[in-house]
Amino acid sequence: MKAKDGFLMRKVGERRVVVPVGEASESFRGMLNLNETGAFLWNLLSGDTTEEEMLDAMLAEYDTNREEAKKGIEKFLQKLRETGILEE
Amino acid sequence: MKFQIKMVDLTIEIRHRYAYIKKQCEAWICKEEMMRPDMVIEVSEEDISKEKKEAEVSVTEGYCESICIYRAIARKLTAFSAFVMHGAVVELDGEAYVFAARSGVGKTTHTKLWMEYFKGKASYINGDKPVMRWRDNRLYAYGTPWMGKENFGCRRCAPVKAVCFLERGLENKIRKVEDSEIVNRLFKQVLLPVEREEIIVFMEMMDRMTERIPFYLLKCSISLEAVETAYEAMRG
Repeated sequence: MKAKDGFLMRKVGERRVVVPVGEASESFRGMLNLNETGAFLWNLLSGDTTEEEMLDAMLAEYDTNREEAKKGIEKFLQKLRETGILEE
Repeated sequence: MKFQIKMVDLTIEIRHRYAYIKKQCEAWICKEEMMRPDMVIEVSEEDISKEKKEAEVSVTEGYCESICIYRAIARKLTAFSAFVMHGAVVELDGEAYVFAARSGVGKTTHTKLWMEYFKGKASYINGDKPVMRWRDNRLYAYGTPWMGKENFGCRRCAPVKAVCFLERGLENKIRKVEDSEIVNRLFKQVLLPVEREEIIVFMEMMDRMTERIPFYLLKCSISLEAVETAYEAMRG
């Protein structure tokens, strides 16, 4: 899976905000408001990846356990599915 | 037909079809025209009729042209470190107090109470759609000819003191809002650019605003006490 093309992530205060660019803005109105972990996961999704790979990457980057990380990833992916940004 | 106006310290040439826009901009028209205005705005007949079709109530072509023109201006403001924000701006002691709310919550009702509470001292810079512009590292709120149905506003500008989101409440309570909530609330009051380069500049402006300007949330009743609550917090 990967994130759809045509989105841009920028820093706003301590948040990372994802907005559509060009044509993507016709089908997606609004934005994603992410924390640091969300931004990390978003970057992983710029290329094709799997949930398992995301989990490994997150465990390597953050001081967290497998269960917590898995929950976090699922929640994040759920958010992306709801907004229709994920390509599976 | 065309004319030039001076707003937000910019010279804007407006090319138009209907009389409405010229009347609306009357107080802003430049007496001497410039060879090279900062921007030239013209909207198509298609844009105007699209706007008319999408309107919830019956509106004239002239009105729709005015709405389209402002949207076109808004899109070009990014290049001048500026953007349009939906909100009401009150000037008090040379500083701008900005209020934003969903339509119908009562930003006009609340800001009218500021006029009453600070009688003779407070005035409207713009009651509906001011322009915010970064100049010399400060954010200024500018008046524009687009002032909403109440027509509250003038040709002044002032540095932004604070931004306050409004919600209805039984008691008057104000609190500071931080980054995540600022993002969620602020992005509902602005128009996102579409092109990549403009988005980058626009997001830098949002970032600076979030970091430099204090944001509050006021839950309030319609009362002078609500003004006191807001002012006490926002004056810092």
